[in-house]
Amino acid sequence: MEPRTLEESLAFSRALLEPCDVDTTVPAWRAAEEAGWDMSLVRDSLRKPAWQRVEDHARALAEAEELRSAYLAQYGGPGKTA
Amino acid sequence: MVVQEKLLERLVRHEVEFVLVGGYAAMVYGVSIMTQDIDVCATFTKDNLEKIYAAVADVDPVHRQTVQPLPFRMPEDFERGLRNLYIGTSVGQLDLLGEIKGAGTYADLYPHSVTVKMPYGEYRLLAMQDLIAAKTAMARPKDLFVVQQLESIRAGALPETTLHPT
Repeated sequence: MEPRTLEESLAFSRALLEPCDVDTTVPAWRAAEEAGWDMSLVRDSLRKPAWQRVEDHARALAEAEELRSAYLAQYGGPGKTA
Repeated sequence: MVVQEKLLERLVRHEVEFVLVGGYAAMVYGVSIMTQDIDVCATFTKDNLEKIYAAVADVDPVHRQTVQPLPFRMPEDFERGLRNLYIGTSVGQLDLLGEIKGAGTYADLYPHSVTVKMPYGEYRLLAMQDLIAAKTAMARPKDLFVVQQLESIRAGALPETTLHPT
């Protein structure tokens, strides 16, 4: 249920920082899926506490940067190939 | 190297007054995006600017949006007329905004923020309702993509059904 007051909004936000589950049948969730988002990733994130989401993101970003650095080291720049 | 966690940790350890906003805040709420910079709404008092400077002084801070990257230093009266601060460092990019469109200044956002506990301390995170309003006000395609996920989370999340670790 959508929060209507500031107190409800803050309580809702706090609750989202803890592991929680989702109703994937609501129209907004279905619309996001149809727009192409992999909402299973969102669902999995919500099942972790906020600090874990932050750590996972940092780890994924570090890995992406490592891949990019390796590509640049091998090919010398964006859009170039061997 | 864990990039953004180091930058956020630095702000927390130096007791910088800020509220986390933007894509990073959306990620904390579960949105599946990857973002390379941290956006915060901060107050630009002399005291807080000194804390910000102390948090990044040893990681090569530069002003990101000058033609040539200029070193970020703390001259006299620096806080006067400062509206936003875009800093590049060797551990990530940090955007400090004096006001968030659709949400307000740090003083406006603080009562609309919640505390997030991390292993190294805690920081303030903009409430989801207000984050949605801010992203909607920006109305760029990338913001609206995030809004769509945030609204799906708001509609589908069942916070009263907390999961207990096994």
